[in-house]
Amino acid sequence: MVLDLIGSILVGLMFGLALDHVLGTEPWGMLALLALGMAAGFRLMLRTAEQQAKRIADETNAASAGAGAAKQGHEDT
Amino acid sequence: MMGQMALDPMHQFKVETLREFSIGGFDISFTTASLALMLVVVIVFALLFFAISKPKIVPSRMQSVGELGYEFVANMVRDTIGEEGIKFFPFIFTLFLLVFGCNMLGMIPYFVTPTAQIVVTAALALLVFFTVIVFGFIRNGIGFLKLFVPSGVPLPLLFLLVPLEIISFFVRPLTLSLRLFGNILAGHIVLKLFVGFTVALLGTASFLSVFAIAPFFLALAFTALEFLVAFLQAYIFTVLTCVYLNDAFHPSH
Repeated sequence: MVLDLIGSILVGLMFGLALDHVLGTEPWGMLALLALGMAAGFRLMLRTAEQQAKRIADETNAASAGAGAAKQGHEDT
Repeated sequence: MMGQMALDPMHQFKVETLREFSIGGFDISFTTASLALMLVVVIVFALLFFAISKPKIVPSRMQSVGELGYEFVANMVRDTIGEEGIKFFPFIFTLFLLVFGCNMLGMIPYFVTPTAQIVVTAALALLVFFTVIVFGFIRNGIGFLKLFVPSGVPLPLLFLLVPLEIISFFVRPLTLSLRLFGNILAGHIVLKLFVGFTVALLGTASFLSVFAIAPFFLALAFTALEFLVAFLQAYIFTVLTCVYLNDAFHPSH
Protein backbone atom coordinates (compact mmCIF):
# COMPACT_ATOMS: atom_id res chain seq x y z
CA MET A 1 0.00 0.00 0.00
CA VAL A 2 2.76 2.41 0.92
CA LEU A 3 4.58 1.31 -2.21
CA ASP A 4 1.48 2.02 -4.32
CA LEU A 5 1.38 5.61 -3.05
CA ILE A 6 5.10 6.34 -3.37
CA GLY A 7 5.44 4.44 -6.64
CA SER A 8 2.62 6.37 -8.30
CA ILE A 9 4.13 9.71 -7.31
CA LEU A 10 7.55 8.61 -8.63
CA VAL A 11 6.10 7.33 -11.90
CA GLY A 12 4.13 10.57 -12.33
CA LEU A 13 7.26 12.59 -11.68
CA MET A 14 9.32 10.52 -14.13
CA PHE A 15 6.69 10.76 -16.87
CA GLY A 16 6.43 14.52 -16.29
CA LEU A 17 10.19 15.01 -16.53
CA ALA A 18 10.34 12.87 -19.67
CA LEU A 19 7.49 14.84 -21.24
CA ASP A 20 9.23 18.14 -20.42
CA HIS A 21 12.45 16.83 -21.88
CA VAL A 22 10.73 15.89 -25.16
CA LEU A 23 8.39 18.88 -25.50
CA GLY A 24 10.53 21.49 -23.74
CA THR A 25 7.63 22.64 -21.57
CA GLU A 26 9.53 22.88 -18.29
CA PRO A 27 8.25 22.86 -15.60
CA TRP A 28 4.56 22.43 -16.44
CA GLY A 29 4.55 18.78 -17.52
CA MET A 30 6.38 17.80 -14.38
CA LEU A 31 3.96 19.71 -12.15
CA ALA A 32 0.85 18.42 -13.90
CA LEU A 33 1.93 14.79 -13.96
CA LEU A 34 3.22 14.97 -10.38
CA ALA A 35 -0.28 16.07 -9.31
CA LEU A 36 -1.80 13.27 -11.42
CA GLY A 37 0.65 10.81 -9.88
CA MET A 38 -0.38 11.82 -6.38
CA ALA A 39 -4.04 11.43 -7.28
CA ALA A 40 -3.35 8.03 -8.84
CA GLY A 41 -1.36 7.03 -5.76
CA PHE A 42 -4.17 7.86 -3.37
CA ARG A 43 -6.70 6.12 -5.61
CA LEU A 44 -4.58 3.00 -5.86
CA MET A 45 -3.88 3.01 -2.11
CA LEU A 46 -7.56 3.42 -1.23
CA ARG A 47 -8.46 0.63 -3.66
CA THR A 48 -5.92 -1.73 -2.07
CA ALA A 49 -7.19 -0.75 1.39
CA GLU A 50 -10.77 -1.45 0.29
CA GLN A 51 -9.78 -4.87 -1.03
CA GLN A 52 -7.98 -5.74 2.20
CA ALA A 53 -10.87 -4.51 4.34
CA LYS A 54 -13.23 -6.63 2.26
CA ARG A 55 -10.97 -9.65 2.62
CA ILE A 56 -10.73 -9.20 6.39
CA ALA A 57 -14.51 -8.78 6.63
CA ASP A 58 -14.99 -11.94 4.57
CA GLU A 59 -12.57 -13.82 6.78
CA THR A 60 -14.32 -12.65 9.94
CA ASN A 61 -17.69 -13.66 8.52
CA ALA A 62 -16.37 -17.05 7.48
CA ALA A 63 -14.77 -17.57 10.89
CA SER A 64 -17.90 -16.57 12.81
CA ALA A 65 -19.99 -18.82 10.58
CA GLY A 66 -17.78 -21.66 11.78
CA ALA A 67 -16.46 -22.35 8.30
CA GLY A 68 -12.88 -21.54 9.33
CA ALA A 69 -10.79 -18.59 8.18
CA ALA A 70 -10.45 -18.19 4.44
CA LYS A 71 -7.00 -19.05 3.17
CA GLN A 72 -5.49 -15.85 1.86
CA GLY A 73 -2.00 -14.33 2.05
CA HIS A 74 -1.37 -10.96 3.63
CA GLU A 75 0.06 -8.21 1.56
CA ASP A 76 2.02 -6.00 3.92
CA THR A 77 4.30 -3.01 3.30
CA MET B 1 39.55 -4.05 10.81
CA MET B 2 38.39 -7.57 9.94
CA GLY B 3 35.79 -7.42 12.70
CA GLN B 4 34.57 -4.12 11.33
CA MET B 5 34.01 -5.70 7.96
CA ALA B 6 32.18 -8.73 9.30
CA LEU B 7 29.72 -6.52 11.21
CA ASP B 8 28.87 -4.31 8.24
CA PRO B 9 25.25 -5.30 7.45
CA MET B 10 25.49 -4.21 3.80
CA HIS B 11 28.62 -6.21 3.02
CA GLN B 12 26.60 -9.36 2.30
CA PHE B 13 24.91 -7.72 -0.69
CA LYS B 14 28.14 -6.91 -2.49
CA VAL B 15 28.32 -8.70 -5.81
CA GLU B 16 31.70 -9.99 -6.90
CA THR B 17 32.56 -10.43 -10.56
CA LEU B 18 33.69 -13.93 -11.42
CA ARG B 19 34.13 -13.65 -15.21
CA GLU B 20 34.04 -10.42 -17.15
CA PHE B 21 31.89 -10.23 -20.26
CA SER B 22 30.56 -7.34 -22.24
CA ILE B 23 28.41 -7.12 -25.35
CA GLY B 24 28.20 -3.81 -27.18
CA GLY B 25 29.49 -1.87 -24.20
CA PHE B 26 27.01 -3.48 -21.80
CA ASP B 27 28.55 -5.11 -18.79
CA ILE B 28 27.08 -8.61 -18.56
CA SER B 29 29.79 -10.11 -16.35
CA PHE B 30 29.15 -13.42 -14.69
CA THR B 31 28.85 -12.54 -11.00
CA THR B 32 28.23 -14.34 -7.75
CA ALA B 33 24.55 -13.39 -8.09
CA SER B 34 24.40 -15.07 -11.51
CA LEU B 35 26.03 -18.13 -10.00
CA ALA B 36 23.45 -18.18 -7.20
CA LEU B 37 20.62 -17.85 -9.73
CA MET B 38 22.02 -20.76 -11.74
CA LEU B 39 22.37 -22.77 -8.55
CA VAL B 40 18.69 -22.14 -7.77
CA VAL B 41 17.70 -23.28 -11.26
CA VAL B 42 19.76 -26.44 -10.90
CA ILE B 43 18.38 -27.18 -7.41
CA VAL B 44 14.76 -26.60 -8.45
CA PHE B 45 15.22 -28.67 -11.60
CA ALA B 46 16.88 -31.50 -9.67
CA LEU B 47 14.20 -31.52 -6.96
CA LEU B 48 11.34 -31.58 -9.48
CA PHE B 49 13.10 -34.20 -11.60
CA PHE B 50 13.57 -36.32 -8.49
CA ALA B 51 9.92 -35.75 -7.54
CA ILE B 52 8.50 -37.06 -10.80
CA SER B 53 11.15 -39.58 -11.80
CA LYS B 54 9.26 -42.59 -10.37
CA PRO B 55 5.58 -41.63 -10.23
CA LYS B 56 3.34 -43.88 -8.13
CA ILE B 57 -0.36 -43.85 -7.33
CA VAL B 58 0.51 -43.53 -3.66
CA PRO B 59 3.11 -40.75 -3.88
CA SER B 60 6.45 -40.96 -2.17
CA ARG B 61 7.51 -38.07 0.05
CA MET B 62 9.33 -36.22 -2.73
CA GLN B 63 6.51 -36.79 -5.18
CA SER B 64 3.90 -35.35 -2.82
CA VAL B 65 6.03 -32.24 -2.31
CA GLY B 66 6.13 -31.76 -6.08
CA GLU B 67 2.40 -32.38 -6.41
CA LEU B 68 1.69 -30.01 -3.51
CA GLY B 69 3.61 -27.22 -5.22
CA TYR B 70 1.88 -27.91 -8.52
CA GLU B 71 -1.59 -27.91 -6.94
CA PHE B 72 -0.82 -24.77 -4.94
CA VAL B 73 0.14 -22.69 -7.98
CA ALA B 74 -2.46 -24.29 -10.27
CA ASN B 75 -5.26 -23.40 -7.83
CA MET B 76 -3.90 -19.88 -7.53
CA VAL B 77 -4.00 -19.48 -11.33
CA ARG B 78 -7.53 -20.94 -11.54
CA ASP B 79 -8.82 -18.72 -8.74
CA THR B 80 -7.45 -15.45 -10.08
CA ILE B 81 -7.53 -15.86 -13.87
CA GLY B 82 -9.94 -18.73 -14.41
CA GLU B 83 -9.67 -21.98 -16.35
CA GLU B 84 -8.31 -20.30 -19.50
CA GLY B 85 -5.36 -18.88 -17.56
CA ILE B 86 -3.91 -22.35 -17.17
CA LYS B 87 -1.86 -21.89 -20.35
CA PHE B 88 0.23 -19.42 -18.37
CA PHE B 89 0.75 -21.98 -15.64
CA PRO B 90 4.31 -22.96 -16.75
CA PHE B 91 5.38 -19.30 -16.70
CA ILE B 92 3.83 -18.60 -13.30
CA PHE B 93 5.04 -21.86 -11.76
CA THR B 94 8.58 -21.14 -12.99
CA LEU B 95 8.46 -17.62 -11.54
CA PHE B 96 7.20 -18.92 -8.21
CA LEU B 97 9.85 -21.62 -7.94
CA LEU B 98 12.62 -19.24 -9.01
CA VAL B 99 11.68 -16.50 -6.51
CA PHE B 100 11.00 -18.99 -3.73
CA GLY B 101 14.25 -20.83 -4.45
CA CYS B 102 16.24 -17.57 -4.41
CA ASN B 103 14.66 -16.50 -1.12
CA MET B 104 15.36 -19.86 0.48
CA LEU B 105 18.93 -19.99 -0.85
CA GLY B 106 19.47 -16.65 0.87
CA MET B 107 18.47 -18.19 4.19
CA ILE B 108 21.55 -20.44 4.08
CA PRO B 109 24.45 -18.59 5.72
CA TYR B 110 27.18 -17.32 3.37
CA PHE B 111 25.02 -17.70 0.27
CA VAL B 112 24.23 -14.74 -2.00
CA THR B 113 20.54 -13.81 -2.19
CA PRO B 114 19.72 -12.97 -5.83
CA THR B 115 16.33 -11.51 -4.87
CA ALA B 116 18.08 -8.95 -2.64
CA GLN B 117 19.51 -7.42 -5.83
CA ILE B 118 17.24 -4.84 -7.44
CA VAL B 119 18.37 -5.86 -10.96
CA VAL B 120 17.06 -9.36 -10.48
CA THR B 121 13.67 -8.38 -9.11
CA ALA B 122 13.33 -5.52 -11.61
CA ALA B 123 14.09 -7.89 -14.49
CA LEU B 124 11.46 -10.34 -13.26
CA ALA B 125 8.88 -7.58 -12.75
CA LEU B 126 9.55 -6.08 -16.20
CA LEU B 127 9.22 -9.55 -17.72
CA VAL B 128 5.77 -9.87 -16.15
CA PHE B 129 4.87 -6.31 -17.19
CA PHE B 130 5.79 -6.78 -20.84
CA THR B 131 4.19 -10.23 -20.95
CA VAL B 132 0.93 -8.63 -19.85
CA ILE B 133 1.20 -5.86 -22.48
CA VAL B 134 2.21 -8.13 -25.37
CA PHE B 135 -0.25 -10.89 -24.56
CA GLY B 136 -3.01 -8.36 -23.82
CA PHE B 137 -2.66 -6.82 -27.28
CA ILE B 138 -2.37 -10.21 -29.01
CA ARG B 139 -5.51 -11.52 -27.32
CA ASN B 140 -7.71 -8.43 -27.32
CA GLY B 141 -6.22 -6.30 -30.08
CA ILE B 142 -6.91 -2.64 -29.54
CA GLY B 143 -9.61 -3.63 -27.04
CA PHE B 144 -6.86 -4.11 -24.47
CA LEU B 145 -6.93 -0.33 -24.01
CA LYS B 146 -10.33 -0.73 -22.35
CA LEU B 147 -8.21 -1.60 -19.32
CA PHE B 148 -7.63 2.12 -18.84
CA VAL B 149 -11.30 3.08 -19.11
CA PRO B 150 -13.27 2.37 -15.93
CA SER B 151 -16.82 1.31 -16.76
CA GLY B 152 -19.89 3.20 -15.57
CA VAL B 153 -18.18 6.57 -15.35
CA PRO B 154 -19.62 9.74 -17.00
CA LEU B 155 -17.60 11.05 -19.95
CA PRO B 156 -16.21 14.29 -18.39
CA LEU B 157 -14.77 12.33 -15.47
CA LEU B 158 -12.98 10.00 -17.89
CA PHE B 159 -10.59 12.79 -18.87
CA LEU B 160 -9.29 12.69 -15.30
CA LEU B 161 -9.60 8.97 -14.61
CA VAL B 162 -7.90 7.61 -17.74
CA PRO B 163 -4.52 9.28 -16.98
CA LEU B 164 -4.81 8.04 -13.39
CA GLU B 165 -5.43 4.48 -14.60
CA ILE B 166 -2.46 4.72 -16.97
CA ILE B 167 -0.17 5.88 -14.18
CA SER B 168 -1.50 3.10 -11.93
CA PHE B 169 -0.67 0.61 -14.66
CA PHE B 170 2.91 1.82 -15.05
CA VAL B 171 3.48 1.71 -11.30
CA ARG B 172 3.11 -2.07 -11.33
CA PRO B 173 6.64 -3.13 -12.31
CA LEU B 174 8.03 -0.63 -9.80
CA THR B 175 5.99 -1.85 -6.84
CA LEU B 176 6.28 -5.51 -7.86
CA SER B 177 10.08 -5.34 -7.90
CA LEU B 178 10.50 -3.05 -4.89
CA ARG B 179 8.22 -5.13 -2.65
CA LEU B 180 10.22 -8.32 -3.14
CA PHE B 181 13.59 -6.55 -3.10
CA GLY B 182 12.76 -4.44 -0.02
CA ASN B 183 11.39 -7.27 2.09
CA ILE B 184 14.28 -9.60 1.42
CA LEU B 185 16.92 -6.86 1.79
CA ALA B 186 15.44 -5.54 5.05
CA GLY B 187 15.10 -9.01 6.50
CA HIS B 188 18.74 -9.84 5.82
CA ILE B 189 19.95 -6.53 7.23
CA VAL B 190 17.96 -7.01 10.45
CA LEU B 191 19.28 -10.57 10.85
CA LYS B 192 22.85 -9.44 10.30
CA LEU B 193 22.45 -6.55 12.76
CA PHE B 194 21.14 -8.75 15.58
CA VAL B 195 23.83 -11.34 15.03
CA GLY B 196 26.35 -8.49 14.90
CA PHE B 197 25.08 -7.14 18.24
CA THR B 198 25.42 -10.58 19.78
CA VAL B 199 29.01 -10.95 18.60
CA ALA B 200 29.90 -7.38 19.62
CA LEU B 201 28.47 -7.83 23.12
CA LEU B 202 30.22 -11.16 23.57
CA GLY B 203 33.42 -9.55 22.32
CA THR B 204 33.46 -7.03 25.16
CA ALA B 205 34.40 -9.91 27.52
CA SER B 206 32.95 -8.08 30.51
CA PHE B 207 29.67 -8.23 32.43
CA LEU B 208 28.05 -6.77 29.28
CA SER B 209 28.38 -10.18 27.64
CA VAL B 210 25.35 -11.30 29.66
CA PHE B 211 23.17 -9.01 27.57
CA ALA B 212 24.19 -10.82 24.38
CA ILE B 213 21.35 -13.22 25.12
CA ALA B 214 18.76 -10.61 24.07
CA PRO B 215 19.88 -10.00 20.46
CA PHE B 216 20.65 -13.71 20.16
CA PHE B 217 17.05 -14.70 20.80
CA LEU B 218 15.82 -11.86 18.61
CA ALA B 219 18.05 -13.16 15.79
CA LEU B 220 16.62 -16.62 16.39
CA ALA B 221 13.05 -15.31 16.20
CA PHE B 222 13.83 -13.27 13.10
CA THR B 223 15.33 -16.30 11.37
CA ALA B 224 12.00 -18.06 11.76
CA LEU B 225 10.19 -14.95 10.55
CA GLU B 226 12.49 -14.69 7.54
CA PHE B 227 11.57 -18.20 6.44
CA LEU B 228 7.94 -17.08 6.53
CA VAL B 229 8.79 -13.90 4.61
CA ALA B 230 10.75 -15.92 2.04
CA PHE B 231 7.65 -17.96 1.27
CA LEU B 232 5.18 -15.09 1.63
CA GLN B 233 7.03 -12.78 -0.74
CA ALA B 234 7.31 -15.51 -3.36
CA TYR B 235 3.58 -16.12 -2.91
CA ILE B 236 2.69 -12.41 -3.17
CA PHE B 237 4.89 -12.00 -6.26
CA THR B 238 3.10 -14.92 -7.90
CA VAL B 239 -0.40 -13.81 -6.89
CA LEU B 240 0.23 -10.31 -8.23
CA THR B 241 1.58 -11.81 -11.46
CA CYS B 242 -1.70 -13.71 -11.76
CA VAL B 243 -3.72 -10.57 -11.01
CA TYR B 244 -1.83 -8.60 -13.67
CA LEU B 245 -2.15 -11.40 -16.22
CA ASN B 246 -5.87 -11.48 -15.44
CA ASP B 247 -6.04 -7.95 -16.87
CA ALA B 248 -4.65 -9.28 -20.15
CA PHE B 249 -7.42 -11.89 -20.23
CA HIS B 250 -10.26 -9.61 -19.06
CA PRO B 251 -9.32 -5.98 -19.79
CA SER B 252 -12.70 -4.41 -19.01
CA HIS B 253 -13.51 -4.11 -15.34
